[in-house]
Order: sequence, then C-alpha cells, then structure tokens
Amino acid sequence: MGQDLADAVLDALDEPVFLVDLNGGIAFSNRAAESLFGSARRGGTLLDLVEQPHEALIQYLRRCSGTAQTLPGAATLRDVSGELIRFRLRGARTRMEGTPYIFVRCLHSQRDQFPALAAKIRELNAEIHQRRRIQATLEESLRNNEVLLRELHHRVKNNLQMLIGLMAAAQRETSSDEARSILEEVVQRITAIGSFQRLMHESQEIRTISSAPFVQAICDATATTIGDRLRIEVRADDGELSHEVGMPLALILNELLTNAAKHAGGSIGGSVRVGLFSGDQGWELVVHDNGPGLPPDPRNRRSSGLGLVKGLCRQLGASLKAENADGARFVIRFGRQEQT
Amino acid sequence: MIHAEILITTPADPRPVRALAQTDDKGSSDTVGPGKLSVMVVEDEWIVSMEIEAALEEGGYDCVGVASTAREALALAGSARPDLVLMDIRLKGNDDGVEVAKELRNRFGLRCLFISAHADGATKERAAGADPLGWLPKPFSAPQLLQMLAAVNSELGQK
Repeated sequence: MGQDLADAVLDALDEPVFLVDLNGGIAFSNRAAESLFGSARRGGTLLDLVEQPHEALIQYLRRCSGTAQTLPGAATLRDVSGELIRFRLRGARTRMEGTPYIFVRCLHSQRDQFPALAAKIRELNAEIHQRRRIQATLEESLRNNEVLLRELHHRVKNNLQMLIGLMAAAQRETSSDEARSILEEVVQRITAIGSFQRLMHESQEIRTISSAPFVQAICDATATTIGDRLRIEVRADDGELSHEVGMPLALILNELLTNAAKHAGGSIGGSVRVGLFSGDQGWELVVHDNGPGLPPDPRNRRSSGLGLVKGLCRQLGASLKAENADGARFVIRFGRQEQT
Repeated sequence: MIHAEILITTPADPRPVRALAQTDDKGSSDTVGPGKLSVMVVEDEWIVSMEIEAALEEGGYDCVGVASTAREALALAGSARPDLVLMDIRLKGNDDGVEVAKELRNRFGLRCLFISAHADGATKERAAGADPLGWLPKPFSAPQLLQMLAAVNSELGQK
C-alpha cells in the first residue's frame, strides 16, 4: 500500500490517530487529529497534549513499543479549544520505511462503539442510582415511623397509667362510698381500654386484632380488678376484629363482666360464661351469668353500665338482647361490615 | 377457639409474708423470716409512683422508697436492701431500667418485677440477664399489681 493510500485510509477514520516515535514525537496525525488538536501538533509531541503528569503516557508508549498487538490505555488530552477530553487509547508497534513507530488511536470515551446501547446503560444506571436513593430514603422514613409509632403507643399506655393513678388517688381521698364505687368502675374501664391498646400494639396487623386473645385479655384484665369470687369461662372463635370494633367491644365486655360480678359474684359458685362466636351474619358476643337475673326495671342512665353498653352497641350498629335465662344473659350481634 | 377458666379468689389474709432467700453480692445467703416484704420502686412518673406506693401500702408491703434514676436506684438499693424491685424501663434522664436491673442483680442479688409499657419480645430478651421476676405491662390497676406481687411472692416462697 502506498503512502498516499495509507494516509487516505487514516484520514477517513473518525477518531484521531497518531504515529509517534518512542518519545511521543508526532510523525503523523490524521485529519481527525488535526481537526481536534490543530495542525501545528504535527512535529510536536503527544506529551504536549496530555495533562500532567506524563509518566503514565510514557509508560503506555513503552509498553506499546514492545508489541505488535494492540494494547488498551487511556489519557486525558487537551483539544485546540483547551477543553479536556478523556480518550480510550489503542496503541501498537509499527514500522514505516524501516523506522519503528507507535501507532496510537484515540477513541472518544463518549463515542462508544454502540452509542444507543451505551446511552441506555447510562440511563438504566442513573435510574438504578435514583431508585436506590429513593429506597434508602423510604427505609429511613419507615424506621422513623416505626420509632414514632412505638413512641406513641408508649405514651398512650403511660398516659392511661397516669389516668388510673389519678382516679385511684381520688378514690382513696373520697369519703363517699358512691363516689368510690364510681371511680373504681372508671378505673376498670380505663384498664380495659389499656388492655385493648396493648393488644393493638402487639398485633402485627395494622387494622385488626385477633378475636380469641382479645376476649381473653379483656376477661383477664376485668377479672383481676373485680376482686370477688367469680368463675369466668371463656370461649372465642378465631378471627379478626377491626380496631374500630375492638375498643367499644372491650368496654362492653368489661361492663357486662362487672355487672355479672355484682349480681352473680356474691354467691357461692358464682360464674359467668363469655362467648364470642363467628357466623355467616357476623359476630355474636354472649355474656351469661348464673346470678338472680335482670331486675324488672334496670337503671338506664347513659353513664351507668347498661346505658354505656347500649350506647356503644349503637356505635357499633349492633343489636343487644338482654334476657333472663337461669341468670342474666346478654347477646350482642354485630356484622362484619363494621370491621373496616 | 380458646376455652379457659379464670378463678378469682380473695384470700382470707392477703398480706404478704417475706418468702425470699436473698443472696448478696458476696454470694452469702440471708434467709429472712416472716414479716413485711420490702419493695423498692423505680419509676420516673410521679403520679404513677404515687399510685404504686399507695397500692403497696394497701397490700401490706413495705415500700422502702422511690427512685427515678439509675443512680438513685443503686444508692437506695444499697442502703435499704429491699426484697424486690418494681422497675420501669424508661427512666429519668434516658436511664435504662434494664441496665439498672442487671446492675442491681450483680451488685445486690436483687431481682426485679418489670412494670413498663415496653414489654415487647426484644426488651424481654434484653432483660433476660437481669433474671426478672415477671412483667406487668402498663397500664395496670392496683389489684393487678397486687395479684402479680402475690404470685411472685408465692413462687419465691416455694423455692
């Protein structure tokens, strides 16, 4: 191949190409190289184009001079406008008219062999990076919310404890038996709310609690506070109760147990059966004691036990049936549609 | 489905008797005779501690005092040498009741009944080194506290 033909081929390439001696002296540069770095570079040295330090490029040229196989390298070169451009280098030893040279191709880092693919990869990398950042932010936010939720539960339980303390202190201070009795009932109600709050905190579900442990916990809490001799039998189907249902139901159950303790608890062998059953139509709560039964005209104040039960049943959209059946028997039915 | 029975009884004499055999930090045993069970309270909420003190008095226990920090608890335990401790988890000044309980166990051979809103599995696991007598989750009522103490006293008395 003649020299003119060789020059024409090299000039046809897109990327800058240099033919340099072992010291980096430029013996030839193609049209792309002259366009980018200036024609004055011919006769100059490749080292003039590279950013300091030169050692890396010198080492690279030395390695290239030892082989006819193309060796990869990289350098940041300054173009004619002074802008620094990062190039991937491909260099190999060659010989021209008996003189050894190094043939160096400068491949633009951004001018990839597969530009569309490279652009897509860059886009995907950016997206991955962005998603990782969002994920880290979300995880941090989740951790903060968990701490906040735990703190809120803790504060609620502590505040309920303080309420109980205040009520109990008032109970000790009063000389009125009626006031003492009323305050004791209030403490019982707060304790029932506290038991529900604890179950809600312990539950892994965000909207529901398990029915069987719920009934057991309320019975345990109320039983401890009642203090009379009373046997409580508990039967509960497994299922899920929504938090909206749980709180009023805890108070209803507490009131009915307290009522049972008042009327059936005084007698020997006093007992109450508590059942929470799940059916096609919804739930049924049954509280049945073996006391003397309901009085003909029970007190019906809104804040009295039965008044509270009625009001909370209305809140739940539940039906309430109170009857005498070898003792007082209360049946409360509520649908699943309330569990939202 | 669950099926359980709860039997509530009111004992003829609910007053507790000393039923603990204490081991101090030197490993010596000090078996104590009948008398009031002495209890130290570690709680930083004043209203709550007041209610606990009243409940203890009502239940026939000897409340040796209330501490609200780790430092106060260790000092009071050293001077009063109670039979057991009612311990909250989160104390004044960010002191940690679990760590205080472990220290009380190591120094004085004292065991704690934890009374806390922090009664989750992770906290219980962390407190295992203090060999706790039990856990009473907040909120609790005075009868619940006394029932728990009676159970603890009875269990310790059988050992």
